[in-house]
Amino acid sequence: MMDEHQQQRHERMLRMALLRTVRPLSDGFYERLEQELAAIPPPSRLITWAIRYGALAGVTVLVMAVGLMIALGDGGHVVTTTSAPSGIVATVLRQITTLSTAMSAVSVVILGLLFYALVGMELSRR
Amino acid sequence: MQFDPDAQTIALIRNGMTHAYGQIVKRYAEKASSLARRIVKDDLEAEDIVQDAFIRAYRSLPSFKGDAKFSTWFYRIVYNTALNAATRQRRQPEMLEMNEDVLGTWTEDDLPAQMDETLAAEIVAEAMEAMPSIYGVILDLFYVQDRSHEEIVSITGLPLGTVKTRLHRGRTYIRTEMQRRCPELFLERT
Repeated sequence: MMDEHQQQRHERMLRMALLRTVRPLSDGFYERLEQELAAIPPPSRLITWAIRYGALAGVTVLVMAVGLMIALGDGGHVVTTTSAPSGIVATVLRQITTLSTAMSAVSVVILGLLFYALVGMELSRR
Repeated sequence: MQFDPDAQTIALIRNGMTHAYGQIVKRYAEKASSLARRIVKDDLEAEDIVQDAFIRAYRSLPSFKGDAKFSTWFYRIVYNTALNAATRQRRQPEMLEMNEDVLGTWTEDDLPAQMDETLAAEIVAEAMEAMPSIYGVILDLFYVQDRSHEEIVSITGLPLGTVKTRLHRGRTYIRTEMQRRCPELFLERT
């Protein structure tokens, strides 16, 4: 069995031999890479942040818009006019209107909370 | 949290001083190429992989959280890019573990003290070319890239036991090659 000193010497020898297998890169490697990198916009946390939260804000607005369109669209119009159908059709339309209004309100609240929670997390990490 | 010598450079790049990325490239290009070469076994292809890895890393810098050292994160990108390249070209890295029988009956855990450094380097280089990638990669990460066992686990995603086994078998492969090439040096010791 080897003692610790021998072990270290052999590890060093193997490391040195392996380091000598590292070869220089071909001519033009660095220039090619520099050109490739120059074509890429500079990395910025701000851009990632803007994309991430911009997308979330976009989804929030979209859900709000869809919810409001349903709430204030044909369904809402029909049940508020005097010529609104009576009976089961009117009841269904009224329920759809109520439900979509509630859905849009809940979506806005949930997405709003999520948005501010994520913004808070990001700010605390920076 | 580990000390990361690259942290300051990364901070500069994030603050818009993108030319600082050149320091990172200079620091890691050759060694990263060595790692890629262990997998694809081709110098030019290894360079392409390293170029690709540097570009990927540059693009992904905003998502680098600094939980691990930058070098560990970067070597993971190089490792995965090289594996993907090998798979794309249907040159799957050899996945079979070497049987202990293939490695001979050598049990002495020693290298000859008198071996010339140049000869040792030559034998090691040839053994690294000939041995299956799965061992070459681990030896390269441990000795050339100076990664700890835990960092190798983080880079390759392999279990710690597998990393240790492959490191041991890689070393044994090299010793077997030395014994085969210079039997006289080993006979002198008996």
